[in-house]
Amino acid sequence: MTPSTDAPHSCTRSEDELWASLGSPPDAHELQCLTCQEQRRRLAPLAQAAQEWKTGTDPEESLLEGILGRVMHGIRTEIRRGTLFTLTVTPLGPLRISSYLLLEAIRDAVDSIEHVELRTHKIIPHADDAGPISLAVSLAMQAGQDGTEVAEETRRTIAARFAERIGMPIGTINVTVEDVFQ
Amino acid sequence: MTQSPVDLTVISSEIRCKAVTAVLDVVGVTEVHPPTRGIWKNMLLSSTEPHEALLVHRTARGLVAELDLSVHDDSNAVAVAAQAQKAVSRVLAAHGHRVQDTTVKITVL
Repeated sequence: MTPSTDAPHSCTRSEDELWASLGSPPDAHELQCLTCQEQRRRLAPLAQAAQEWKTGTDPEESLLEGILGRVMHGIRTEIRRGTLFTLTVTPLGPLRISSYLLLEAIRDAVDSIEHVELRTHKIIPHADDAGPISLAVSLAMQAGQDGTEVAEETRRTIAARFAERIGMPIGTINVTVEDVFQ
Repeated sequence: MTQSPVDLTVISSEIRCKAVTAVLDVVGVTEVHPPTRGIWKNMLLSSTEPHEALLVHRTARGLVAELDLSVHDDSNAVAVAAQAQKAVSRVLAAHGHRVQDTTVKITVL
């Protein structure tokens, strides 16, 4: 934010020096030097704008951030309402859950397994909506791992995560190891 | 979430507010979400009223009260949603609404 030193300046003090001292009261030289006083007046609005930019206290900017925050929160909520699954139906009524949370539970479960990377994951609804959902997961595993063991550990981990985090019965969990990485 | 026909006067805003407050007191609930109409109002104007999070409408089989919420990462979604459902039902029952005529739908987002 430092102004150019090429600007005309008739006293020995450079614009850089003046800019650096703008936050302090004028010193003895500046009180005597009309050029420095003029430069101080000229640079004051720019220094104030720079200070506001650095501290981020511009009220218009804060207002805009607040609006953007509310908009993003609303959009996220609406996205989560996109696809819903029935968790269970109690005597009081149905309990439902967003597919977003189910997919998140799969990702968290697979991320916790060593030597494995998640490639794709999806939820397969039961043919009649009352039945349990099934899951399909494809993975890449590190070279040297046993694919069958990796698939079985993935099934166990996902089932445990769903029992703990969701509380929803799952039908089948189809795991495909489709790639190997070093 | 919204189905026809909406009738917000069936349960007063005061009772709806009590129900929402009861849900917010359930351990594991982090937030209640207003319905879509409330979200746009929230974006464009200001925050929505607490009672607006509980959407109430009448169907041929009675009243339906719907509420969307979020749960803590370490909570069990079914357990928390079931507690929230009971909390809403208790408040409605305490104000004369027959439990057997009221469906409480809870959605975890």
